[in-house]
Amino acid sequence: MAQRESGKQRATRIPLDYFKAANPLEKWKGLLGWAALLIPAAWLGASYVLSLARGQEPDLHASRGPVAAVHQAWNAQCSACHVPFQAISSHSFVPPLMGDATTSDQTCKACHQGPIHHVNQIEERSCASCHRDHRGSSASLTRVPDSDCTTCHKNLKDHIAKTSGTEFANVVTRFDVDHPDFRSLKSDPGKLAFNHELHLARGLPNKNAAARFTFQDIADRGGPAFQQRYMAFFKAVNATDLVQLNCQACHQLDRADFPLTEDLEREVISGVFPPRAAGAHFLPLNYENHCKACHPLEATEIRWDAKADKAQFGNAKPAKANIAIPHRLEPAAVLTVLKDYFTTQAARGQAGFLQQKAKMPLPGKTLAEQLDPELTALIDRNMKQTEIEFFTTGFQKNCALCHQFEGDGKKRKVTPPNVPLVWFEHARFDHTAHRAIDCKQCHVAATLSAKSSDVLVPNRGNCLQCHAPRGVISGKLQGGVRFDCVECHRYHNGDHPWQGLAAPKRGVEKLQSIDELIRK
Amino acid sequence: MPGRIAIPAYEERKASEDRTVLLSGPNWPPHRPWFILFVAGTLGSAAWFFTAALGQPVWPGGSSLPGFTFGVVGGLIILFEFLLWVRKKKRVWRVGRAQTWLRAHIWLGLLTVPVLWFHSGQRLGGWLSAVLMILLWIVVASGLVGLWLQTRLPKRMLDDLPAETIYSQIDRLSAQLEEETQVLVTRVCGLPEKAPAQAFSRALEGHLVVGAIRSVGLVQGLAVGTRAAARQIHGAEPLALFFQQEMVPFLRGQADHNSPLWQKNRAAMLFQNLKAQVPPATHETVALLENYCERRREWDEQAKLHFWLHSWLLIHFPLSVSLVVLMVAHIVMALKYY
Repeated sequence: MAQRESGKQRATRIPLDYFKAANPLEKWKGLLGWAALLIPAAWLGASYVLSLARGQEPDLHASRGPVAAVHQAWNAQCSACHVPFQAISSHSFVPPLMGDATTSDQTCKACHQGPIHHVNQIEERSCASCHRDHRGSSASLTRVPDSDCTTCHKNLKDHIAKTSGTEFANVVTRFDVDHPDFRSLKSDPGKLAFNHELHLARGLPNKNAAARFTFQDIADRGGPAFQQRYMAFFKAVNATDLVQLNCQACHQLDRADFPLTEDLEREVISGVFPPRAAGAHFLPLNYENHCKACHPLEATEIRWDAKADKAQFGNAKPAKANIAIPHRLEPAAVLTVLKDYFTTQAARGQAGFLQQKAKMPLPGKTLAEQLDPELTALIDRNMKQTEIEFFTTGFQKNCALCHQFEGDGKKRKVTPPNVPLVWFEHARFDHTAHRAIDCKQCHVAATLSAKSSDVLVPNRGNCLQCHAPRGVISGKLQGGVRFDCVECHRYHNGDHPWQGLAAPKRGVEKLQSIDELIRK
Repeated sequence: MPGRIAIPAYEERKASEDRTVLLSGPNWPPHRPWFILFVAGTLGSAAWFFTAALGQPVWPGGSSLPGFTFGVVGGLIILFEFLLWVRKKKRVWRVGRAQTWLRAHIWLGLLTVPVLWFHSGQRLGGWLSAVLMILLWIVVASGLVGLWLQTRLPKRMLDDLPAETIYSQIDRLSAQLEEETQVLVTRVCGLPEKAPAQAFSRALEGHLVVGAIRSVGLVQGLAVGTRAAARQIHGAEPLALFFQQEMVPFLRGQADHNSPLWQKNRAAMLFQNLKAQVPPATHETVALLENYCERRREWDEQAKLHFWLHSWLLIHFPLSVSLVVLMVAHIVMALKYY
């Protein structure tokens, strides 16, 4: 075997300027380095030019994700929301020479104001601090996490003006942990009598009357149109079937749920029932729609019989007055309507009365009574009967069946029922979202409630059956449904919880043209 | 080590090589402070990030105080990492020791991964930031691959390739070997019909030039060694045949992959067989050819290892360039739409 060359010998084979020889790896490294410099630069440059060509802002792929669907029109217009080199969120750390989020807020408020939560709150955040965009087109801007709320509500007293107290709980961090019971729940003064237990029982068994209530009774009281309506609603076959009301007979989410017949439609004030209800709240209860079928306003009268002896009307049988008495009249107005009716009826019994020329009294004078005194007595007797039938507590009919009165005689007035239209003022509850659940699952006390002052709205404990973390409690699977703050609460305009999105406070300061709005 | 024969020169060389290997047991102490810095930086940034995230609805992003700080630190580290390229290009500037630069490059580069991940708020974000983050991962990953290769392959080259030479000179040296063996075989076996003119002249000169005429530009130096040319030996024709058919293509790198010369053991058997076919007087020449073949084989192996030793840079370096370019764009855009 030949002896190997030593390192020195091998070195002699290498020319001294060996380093000038081309190294393919170095050559490729240089070429790729230039490509790596030029390709991203070209990418950014092409994006810039193409954006300009499309009439878009050259954002150079800076967006960290698509904006929410409601902002899609401005997905490629960063400056529609962003003010260059100004922070957009008050949560952001603002480096020197950069403006805070105040300026950026103005771009949001050009389209929608965000009234403050409460007048006594100390700090005000920028819009983007809570409404985080660029999380995809399907992301909700209003479904903010609990921590946005608990920043203050975990220790509320430190976040409101010292001079102002608060009725709200100082510490609320989670619905299932330390959220108080629903204190914003309204109370019912009980000025409008209604017995849920009676109305939900089969045949509506009145304790004073063993007879059960049938669909024929509806026809007898409210007329055939109501009978037809209720039989259709309850899919009743025979008129003699017992009536079994349910919650939906009175509490409807949509106008078409319990349609009125054409005749009845005219009687119900259309304004009470919007054509397309939002569905979150039940439509207002309405006498004509919900009560009249069984509780018509009826007066009885004794009519003059010209063929009989004048004195005989005292023995005449009272009959149903042939007059539709409108609801929502104060007692004095009801009496006026009925007196006019009785007078008209009496006048029909006086020969030649209606042919007399109308007389005008001289100033300061009154006309002498033109009606026969017997007929006047008949009117008075009917009016006394009316007083009893309409305004006597315990008569179980007409106004006094449900209403209470203040004052007497001509000063008698209906005590305002003041039944709350919205029971939760500081939270929202959407019945539409819960319609798959039997009403009695939550309103279990309704079938046992005889007093109208009973508040049958369930409290927090009832909600926790579903709106809590998923878990097994007493061997029963519970929870699992969302229970975050915004599930029930809305932040803005908290001092006016009834004001919705259409409230002027949430409007804009300056109206814009379509062009200004879309291509701002 | 029991039974191991200590060879002073080898041990000294081995120890020297161990010091130059990037990461190994003996080489660990100078890396230790950098490693501690990396661990401390990772844990510190993680602690700050997760503390800042407590009670927050989302992870702190680039515009939060920790996120912004991480972004600035990460960006400065990336620029520093890139300066290694400048340091290598401008060796004469002597700004710090190259080894220190490399250690800082390794550990600070690794630190950018957690720091910039926390800067991003653990999100990839939009196109630009996602591309940036992925580029960073690829660059760091390719750097780690390079670190591993540069830790392993030099030792292997040192141990397995005693004929290692300068990579760019392999082709030139192979040509030298071919030329030298051509002359030698010509002399021993007689002139072939198509021998190169230069070989003719050298064979007739009565000696062989070993090595090269060293030159720098137009200046030429002396031949550094000569070997007495073998005289022509009758019966050495199989050597000439072997040389033309097997060895020349092999030295040129054109031999079929099945050629026995590519494998040490098969080559040894081949040369043993050749020696049996030629007169003993040619055995020294055959041994020389075998030595050249082995050298050529080692160079080929060196070329392969050299490729792996440096090819990761074809990814690492260009993507680092792109990373810096896109990072500048990201900084401008992020501050503009803060």
